[in-house]
Amino acid sequence: MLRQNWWKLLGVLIFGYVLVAGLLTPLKPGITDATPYTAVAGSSVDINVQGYNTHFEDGQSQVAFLKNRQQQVIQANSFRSTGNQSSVFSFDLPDMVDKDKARLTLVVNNSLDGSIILPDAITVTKGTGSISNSATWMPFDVGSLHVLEDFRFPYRNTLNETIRNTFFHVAIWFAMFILFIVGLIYSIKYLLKRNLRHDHIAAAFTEVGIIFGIVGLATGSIWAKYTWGTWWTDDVKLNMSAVAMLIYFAYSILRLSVKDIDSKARLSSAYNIFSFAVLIPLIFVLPRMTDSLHPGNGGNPALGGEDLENSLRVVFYPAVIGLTLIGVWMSTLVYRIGILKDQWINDL
Amino acid sequence: MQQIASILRQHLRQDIRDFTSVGSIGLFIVGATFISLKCFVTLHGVGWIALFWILFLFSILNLVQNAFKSSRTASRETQYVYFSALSVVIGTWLYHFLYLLGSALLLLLAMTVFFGSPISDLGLFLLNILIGSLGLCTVLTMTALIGSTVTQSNLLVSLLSIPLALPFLLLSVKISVVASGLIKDTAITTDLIQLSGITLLAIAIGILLIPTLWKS
Repeated sequence: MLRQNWWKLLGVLIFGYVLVAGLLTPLKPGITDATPYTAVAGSSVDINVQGYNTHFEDGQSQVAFLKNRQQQVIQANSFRSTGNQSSVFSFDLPDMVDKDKARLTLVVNNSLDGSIILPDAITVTKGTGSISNSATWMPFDVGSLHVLEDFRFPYRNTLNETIRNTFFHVAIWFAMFILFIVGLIYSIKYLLKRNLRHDHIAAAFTEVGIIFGIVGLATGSIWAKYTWGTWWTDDVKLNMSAVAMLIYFAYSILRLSVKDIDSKARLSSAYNIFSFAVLIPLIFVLPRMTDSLHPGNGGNPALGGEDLENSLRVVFYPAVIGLTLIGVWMSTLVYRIGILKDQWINDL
Repeated sequence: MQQIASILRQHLRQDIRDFTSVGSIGLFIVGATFISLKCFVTLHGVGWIALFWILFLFSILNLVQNAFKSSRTASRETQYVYFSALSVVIGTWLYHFLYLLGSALLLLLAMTVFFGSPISDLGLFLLNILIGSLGLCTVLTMTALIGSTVTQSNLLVSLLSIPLALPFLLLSVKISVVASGLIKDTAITTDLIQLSGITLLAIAIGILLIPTLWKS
């Protein structure tokens, strides 16, 4: 039995690994907020830093820098930590001669956290008064900093812990597409060979694809509420997935409304092929040409080089494989139910 | 070719003999526009365009549902004997296309009379209607063909058409907004090419599928 069904076990094991690794791996330390957001050049400023997963108190040899675009830094004079998650760093800002405004990146480094970076943490404007200190920009010496070696997921502002949803939301869309494409292939096969089994397979894969699509929409909606502040927004990918779902719902309605088995198979196969042809430009072409809130837009999303860190890939690719295997398993069950129903109708 | 022309002629002759469907679509368009006028009072810009396409979609949904019913042209058996499937469907498709263009122009006229027109680039808007109608009539012809063998097909045809019509509508609405001068878009040719592209794709797949849908 295991010799035939090993892939089911594999799917479940892989998905179990995704659940464990995806939910239990901690995030890298990050800075949620640093106030104030603006300061005047030539003055002293106390930056109040709120950390996440940080060790401001426990970490040894802690240093903090403000870095400009020319890779020059000023180091904090002193810091005062109130717990691991919050600390105040005091900087003397040097005078600015060439520019009116500069956005500085905050870098905090200690032995437990490695480097924690908050890009564009503070905007420094040119002062009008006299210069109260003699601070100057120094070259950034990366070599002396601590590096965090643990396996961690990256910390991103606004995403925070929801970055784990990548393994479920994105992976389930991938799996859904694989299921829909298998369904399409069997629809074409049915029209060529007129074997009713092929139609049952196509229907089963498409139905499970619909379930995956609903879960994909739901996880995406929850994620959108957290990061973009709304359940639904007018984004090209959301629109297209809504259209795709409507089309496949219509496919199910069509299957329900035709009673004759042969014409049901014929009509629904034709509709499946036709609607997939209309969908292709929508799902694969348009989103790559239009602005989107989703990452990786204007290129190949999710598989592109910059959008996914390696630590995420280690869990994301198995998630796609695991969910696809589970989807195929579900489809075979639906297929068997469909065949049994047909036999039952014939026996009546 | 002759067969296609013959089917088209049959459809048009039927409409001249029995004015009901043309008249009811015309009345639907004018009536719906008037109801919208009483509800919205005034309408500009994007609202006008949205209303235009929504009314257009629903008026043409009514139109296609009976296209392949035997009462319209020669009975199905006669068609099966004398005409090839392709020519019947293409003839009906051309007929739908003429009908869609007619309803779009009537709707444009009615909405311009009642609301005034926000369209500044009429040429682009008409081109948009032309390509959009081509795509929509392909979708509607296919779904009507699918629905023709199902009893109680009216609701089913609408259900099958609406999601498939959405891609065409989304692009058409975008082009219409550009044609009304509300947004400036230098990449409008890309949109037109996309719209023509999915239309051509729909036509190609439709032609491939006609034989399987016709035999029953």
